[in-house]
Amino acid sequence: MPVNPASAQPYAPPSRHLIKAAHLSKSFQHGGGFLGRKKRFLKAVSDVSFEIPQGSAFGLVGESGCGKSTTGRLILGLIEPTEGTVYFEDNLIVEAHARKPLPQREMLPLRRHMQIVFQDPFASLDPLMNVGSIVSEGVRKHKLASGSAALDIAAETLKLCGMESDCLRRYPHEFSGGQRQRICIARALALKPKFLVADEPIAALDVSIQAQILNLLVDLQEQLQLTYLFISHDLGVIRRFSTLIGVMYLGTLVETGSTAAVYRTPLHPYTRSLLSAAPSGMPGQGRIKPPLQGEVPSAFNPPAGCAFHTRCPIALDICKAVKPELTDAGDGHCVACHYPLGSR
Amino acid sequence: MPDSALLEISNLHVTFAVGRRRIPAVQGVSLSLRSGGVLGLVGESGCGKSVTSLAVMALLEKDTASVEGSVRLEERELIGLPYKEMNRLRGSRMSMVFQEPMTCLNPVLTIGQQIEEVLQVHQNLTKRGARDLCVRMLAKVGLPDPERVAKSYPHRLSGGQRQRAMIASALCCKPVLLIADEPTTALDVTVQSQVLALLQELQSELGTAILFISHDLGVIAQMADRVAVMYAGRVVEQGSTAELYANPLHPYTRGLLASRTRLDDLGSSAGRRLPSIQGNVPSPDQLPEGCSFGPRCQYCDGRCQRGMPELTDEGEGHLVRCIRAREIA
Repeated sequence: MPVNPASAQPYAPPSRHLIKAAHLSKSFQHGGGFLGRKKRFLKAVSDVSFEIPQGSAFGLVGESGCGKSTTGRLILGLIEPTEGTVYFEDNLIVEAHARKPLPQREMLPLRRHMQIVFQDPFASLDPLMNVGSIVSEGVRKHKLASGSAALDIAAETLKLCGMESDCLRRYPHEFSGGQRQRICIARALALKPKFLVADEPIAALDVSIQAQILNLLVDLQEQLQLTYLFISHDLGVIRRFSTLIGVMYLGTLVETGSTAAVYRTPLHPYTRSLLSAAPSGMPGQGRIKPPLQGEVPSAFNPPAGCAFHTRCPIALDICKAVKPELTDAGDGHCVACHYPLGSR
Repeated sequence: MPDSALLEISNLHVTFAVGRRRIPAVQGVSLSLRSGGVLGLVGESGCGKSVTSLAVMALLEKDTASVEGSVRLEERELIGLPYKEMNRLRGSRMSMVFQEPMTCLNPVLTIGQQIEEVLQVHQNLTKRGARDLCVRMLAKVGLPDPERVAKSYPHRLSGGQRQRAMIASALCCKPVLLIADEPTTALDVTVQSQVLALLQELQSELGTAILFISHDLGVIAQMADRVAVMYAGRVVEQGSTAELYANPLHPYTRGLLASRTRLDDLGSSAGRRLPSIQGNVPSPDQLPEGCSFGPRCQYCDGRCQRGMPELTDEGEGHLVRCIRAREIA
């Protein structure tokens, strides 16, 4: 295999994709109940397409409300899309308005390979179940093992995630946030999945614990050849963790590409603003200059044309009228902008 | 500038009574903030930084929290001050901005009513005068169409706008001290940088000193001229921001600074793993013997378990609570 010295990434992603999402859209209905309130639609995700190659970590970044968590749930089939399809390996697992949806008995074996870790480890563990049953529940449900064999798998996975084996009989409230997140990760990994969605897995944790959990996720990826969809609002974390990145704004994907390329030469004005808004972390930088004015518009009533044009420092007339398509600017670095940076 | 401090906290202890147990949340914290300065207070959840600020404002429940020590604002002792006198200071000489503006603004009053109330109570303004000043203040914090905002209820505003309204309300009487407790933690990065820039601007215009509380070392670096790092109820390191970031002495501070993800750290062969601090934050009622950070510290030896190290000056006001600070530096 030819070796390209320029791509000195820790993981050179193989070309084979594990997840392929095409034209995913999701609108949530609001109002319109029997009280006769007006029916409104919140466009959480509109026309999002991307692929996640086997063994890579795809980072989805954006501000709150941009649709990144909804995208994660759509890909796992936890919510039904308004439009679009998702393939897992070569199986069509999610299809909008499917005439014949995938039957449960075919979906269940695939589910085993697609797991999720949520943001808040205080809300995502059942307080009435002990850690052993929490972690082994999936194993039993998928009939990989039962009884004490299932508990053995749980103990083994917990150990892999850095937990002592005496935690099996204890309950979630006995653990700190970082330990709970380790339990959540163990629950997801007990089924030996191929694909893991990590939805802000460190945002609720203390600063000194965040690095531990990130390192754990990196170790596990190497040991188990996992593929990640890593959702975060933190650009520093995404930069460390992901090999590929997708930047979302108001439900649309505005830029995708290799993490190194996107951080080195951001093409979308929003990506550049995000990068310069993040604190540099060094003192003595003088006055803060906010790169963007205003806030994200409401997803109930997104702007026409390019969703970013209301805040874009370089928007022109065409941006208000025509929605830019995500197009490849070279080497798989894609941008949805009529006038990408550096092109002028 | 005269050297007398605007806010002088010395040997502050806060203990919570939970049932029969007594939980020490803040143990002997001493801080001083000069007039017009920005002191950053950084630490993880539960380290006592918010409790310290609530004690300064006398906002802790008297039944459950016992506060000892001294807090002096403009040379006036605040601990033990009668409720009425404290109320006269709060909102006029000192005020506070909280993390989640939605929980601090009254949902059934308009923004205007809430700010006008502050002005009428503290500045004896007429209704008309309060309204005018309120609208001017809302314009000053960068809210578009301030007249409309004044008539709006909090839920009509976005998170960033609510935080601006909170800042307007806190600064309308031109206090000498503003306590900002995680003021941008609930906001997105692009809005965070707007709110931080606003605070910087108002701070230099009004000369308000800020006690800026955050868990985010990046934000503290941008805002503060001095920093105090808290761990398990105590200050473990304190110094000027430039000195502390360039030359951290306490193993906890060093660990925190090293485990940060920065935007400029790729490109080197840093890899994807971060240096991390082992273990978990101890709960305040189960603190270890000796140095509280001991069990998580890679430099901990027998001497560290014998007693809590003193906060000592390592030169030019750089204080550190570690007996091995000089050896490991």
